[in-house]
Amino acid sequence: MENKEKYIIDSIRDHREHVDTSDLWASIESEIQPPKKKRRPIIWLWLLIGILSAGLIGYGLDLFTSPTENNLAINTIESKTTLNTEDKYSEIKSKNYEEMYESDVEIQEDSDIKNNKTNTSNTTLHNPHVSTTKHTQNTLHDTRNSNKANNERNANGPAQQSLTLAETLTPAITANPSNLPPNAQSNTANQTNSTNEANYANLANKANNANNPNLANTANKANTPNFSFPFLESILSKLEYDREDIILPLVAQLPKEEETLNKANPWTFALQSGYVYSNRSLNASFPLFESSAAYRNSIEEQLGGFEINATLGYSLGKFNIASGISFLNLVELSQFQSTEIREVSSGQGSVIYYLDGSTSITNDPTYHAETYTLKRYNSARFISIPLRVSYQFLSIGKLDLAAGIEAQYNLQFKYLGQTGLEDGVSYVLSEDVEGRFKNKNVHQYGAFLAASYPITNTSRGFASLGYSKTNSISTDNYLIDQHYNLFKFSAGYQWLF
Amino acid sequence: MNIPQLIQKCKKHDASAQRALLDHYAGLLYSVALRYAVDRSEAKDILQEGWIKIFMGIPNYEEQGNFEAWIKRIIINVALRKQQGLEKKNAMYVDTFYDEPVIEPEAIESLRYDDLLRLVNQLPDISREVFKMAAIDGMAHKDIGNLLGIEASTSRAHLTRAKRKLQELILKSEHVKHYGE
Repeated sequence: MENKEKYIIDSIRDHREHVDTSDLWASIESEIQPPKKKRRPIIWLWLLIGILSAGLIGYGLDLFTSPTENNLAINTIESKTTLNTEDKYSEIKSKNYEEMYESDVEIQEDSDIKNNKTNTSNTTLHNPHVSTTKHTQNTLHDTRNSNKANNERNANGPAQQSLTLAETLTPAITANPSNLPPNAQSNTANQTNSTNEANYANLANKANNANNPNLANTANKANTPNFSFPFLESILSKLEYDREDIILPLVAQLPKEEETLNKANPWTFALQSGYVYSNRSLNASFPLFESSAAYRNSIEEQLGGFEINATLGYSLGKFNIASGISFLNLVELSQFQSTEIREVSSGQGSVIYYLDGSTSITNDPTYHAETYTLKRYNSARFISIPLRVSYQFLSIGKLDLAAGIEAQYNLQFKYLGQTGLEDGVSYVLSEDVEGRFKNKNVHQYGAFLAASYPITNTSRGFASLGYSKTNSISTDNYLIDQHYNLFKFSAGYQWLF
Repeated sequence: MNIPQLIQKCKKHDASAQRALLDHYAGLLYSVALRYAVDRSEAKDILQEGWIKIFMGIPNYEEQGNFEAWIKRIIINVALRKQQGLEKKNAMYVDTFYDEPVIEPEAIESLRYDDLLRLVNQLPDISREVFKMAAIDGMAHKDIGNLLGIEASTSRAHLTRAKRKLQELILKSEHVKHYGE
């Protein structure tokens, strides 16, 4: 009897049923090709480049459209005296005289300056020591009238500038050495060739430095930084020269800050991107495997991803309404645990279906609960039109805080994925469910808090924290009740038109 | 090319290696599928689905166990998944075997594969599945227990019961052969 049993077992085990492998291969070949790695655009990189570029452009534009403190101050001076570059140079030089001689130098603006009809300074110096010498006055006057030449010298740095001053002073000093301050006079006494103009220039230069070490700084404050690197000084002087001669006149023609702010209209454009954490809950109860059995399935899983969107907004007082387009991609970050509870009733016994597709039969429990550690490689993508309404409820300095609600109408929802399961016995089940969920009627709705801070006068940076939830995802053939709980942290840039 | 080399190439999705592996094991796995399927049509479905799962899962195959046992287990798993419930399966078996003479009045040794399979399929419920998995496909009781959701000791008990029942069926067939009914 045992031989017959062994014969039956061996016969069945060793039997090789013929099968047409060509047909079999043809039927599976297309399904076992490795999933092609899709070239995903480096969205983050492009987004970062875009935001940075936009920010730089916005900042650059703002530099011209909204005066800074410095050029505001200069504008103030200009509004009072309407000085051009040459006039300012004259003014600076006059201040040099003031400080050099510690005297009551007065800058008088002639009628031409007041009427802004000339670029030539006719400022007259009234100095008790100097003004008595007509030659000096004329020399100074002539010197100021050659402002362009002075500016060119000025471009050569403080040393050259001091020399220029000395040249200017030389005739006056030559005519009346008492015009020099006491220290300068004592220095003059030490000079052997006091009538030599070059020596006088040196003398004046020394006097300049000795009497008022800050004099050069005073002049440089307006013209060049007081560096001890001649090359850098010359470059910076040149830049400053260009700024005064080229940029500032242009800036003067641009609208002032107040005008810019007044022109802000209620339209805004914003680019926003951020991280999205999702907790997907799934609850389903439906027939399985075309049998009369039913089971309940509950899965909790965690996904992460990113969202980018571009919106156009309109402000009504403290309210802002924005809409645009949004793209959300969710991918699974790592392993997760899934607890699955299934109830199967099939008359006399119960069939328990496991996640890996295996089946067990039992007559006892009608419920089966088990926790699995799964490896899943899923992604869900939403392309949607968001509608956001926010209210600015608090301002702390320049920081604005707003709260709002959002709803997103999804143009497309797509679930892509491949599921793998390891049960510890080197058995692996992979299931490609790509294309299983497409174009389903999925929408999002939620709320958010946002904080914004002005970056420039025409743009703001902002960050927001929000929670959204998808409605139930119904599918054709599988999942019935599925929600994504989306926790969003995003940041963006907003332009004010 | 030996099997380990084929496996390595299959892990890299080498189509020629996949085809060679399929050619090598197709007959074996089809026989396995036939043991757990209702009919040949379902067996072919099981075979097709099973091969897809084998090729999709082979990159994760750790090569620690018997590869033949691994692929047989996948086929068995697919077959069990195809089962739509014990009741339906039993109904099928009853319809197929119990209402008509099961074994031709010939010696056991002369029975065809299908007939031997019919004989085994007369075994009751879980005992039948355990007998196929343990006695024919050589699976460990622990693995059988995992698949069927029973203890290993229970699986052994089912195997003992199945063998006893099989002997009864053989005797019955001998009786049919010698005396007729």
